[in-house]
Amino acid sequence: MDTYFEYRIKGGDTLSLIIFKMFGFTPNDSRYAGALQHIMSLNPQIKNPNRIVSGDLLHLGVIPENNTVAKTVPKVHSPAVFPTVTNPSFVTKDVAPADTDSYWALSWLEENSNFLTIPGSIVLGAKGNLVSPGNLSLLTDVSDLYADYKNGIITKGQYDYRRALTLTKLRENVGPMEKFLFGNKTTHQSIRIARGGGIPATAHIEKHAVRLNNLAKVSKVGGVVLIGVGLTASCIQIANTKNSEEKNEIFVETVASTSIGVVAGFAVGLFLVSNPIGWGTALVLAAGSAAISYGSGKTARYAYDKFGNKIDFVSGSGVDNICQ
Amino acid sequence: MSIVSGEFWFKVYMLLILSVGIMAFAILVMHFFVPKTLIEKYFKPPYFKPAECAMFSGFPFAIIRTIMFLRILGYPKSGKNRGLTEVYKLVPAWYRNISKIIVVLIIFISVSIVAVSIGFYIHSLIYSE
Repeated sequence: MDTYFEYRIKGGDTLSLIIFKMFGFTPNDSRYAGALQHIMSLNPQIKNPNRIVSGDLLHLGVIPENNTVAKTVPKVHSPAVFPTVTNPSFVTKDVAPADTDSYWALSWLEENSNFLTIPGSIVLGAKGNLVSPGNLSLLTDVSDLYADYKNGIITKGQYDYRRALTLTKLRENVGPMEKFLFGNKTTHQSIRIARGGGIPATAHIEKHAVRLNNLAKVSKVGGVVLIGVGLTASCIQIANTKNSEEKNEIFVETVASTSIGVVAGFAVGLFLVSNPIGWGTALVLAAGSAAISYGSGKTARYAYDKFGNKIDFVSGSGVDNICQ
Repeated sequence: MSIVSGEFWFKVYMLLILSVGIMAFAILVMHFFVPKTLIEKYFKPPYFKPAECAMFSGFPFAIIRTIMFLRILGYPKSGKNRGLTEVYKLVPAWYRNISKIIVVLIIFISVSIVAVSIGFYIHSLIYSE
């Protein structure tokens, strides 16, 4: 007797991923088409296999030996009776064991790139600029002030006052990111002269300067890498989509969200010059631009679907030759 | 193709998006022509806050700094709040003229894209299943 169970579709799931998770068949596997056909026959509510909705229920069952199509939707049984394979090694029939992690990472990225790239860009952009050369030089100023004090060029009172002034400036620059940069300590607590023996007096300052410098390098590279990640994810999506219309929808969404993100940045620049802002407004503007960029991509996809689906941007621009 | 058809407005939308790419290229070119003396003299306190100087240095945010200066150069009065009304004297006339054109184009393209997007969004609210 065939047994079946209901599977609730999760965010990021695609039918190919579900078939891969449940049966271990990749799209290149000869049994994949049979599994897909069987699932489609069990779920007549799905009109387009490339479009399943997160939260919907999917009927899954054991694939018959001869891949026969189910005539009717069968009675649903408990998941416990379905012989799902729990050992993840079964999924590696077509993917080499060493590449399994990469395969899953790419599958996740393909579906969730927006959640990574948009907030990631804001965070990395903010972080990269926090640890700019201007801020790093404030740290070394504290070190220089200490040297001046020790050499008798300035008095203790002058040193304390100037140190406090410099650190207040640094604190103002890093704004609400102070916690992020220095953990639970304040800027003034972190950038202090070492009182313990055995280490140079400016060891704390140098340690933070080196750490922030490394963060800056990572952030600057990271920002560019994320742009590449976003475009690569779209490219993978286009390559893995069979349907030409959907390829074009992905293309239009990617191009529109990227371009509108850029133009939102331009508009912010025009606004900023006549309106100096603080950290709070800057973060609101950055988050707002990202939201507009994301929403515009979705709107553009809708517009293509409704009004522009006669145009084949993907073939016309040669993107299908690049993303395959 | 009627002007009231969705297909017409979709093509307009895609043309606007294409123009963003062309404009971004033009701004990138202008970015490399911003005189160094201008940045050294004016991109610092008291004209800009230290946090702004930190934020808009280095790629890719320095491009926003260039856009800020393009507006000040094309329309010197816009720099009144920051005391930057004399900056235009540091650049040649051709740079000021191109700055004006780019500022007008940014505003035109941004407003047009937002307007068409809102139209599509309203359509999706009314007609989507």
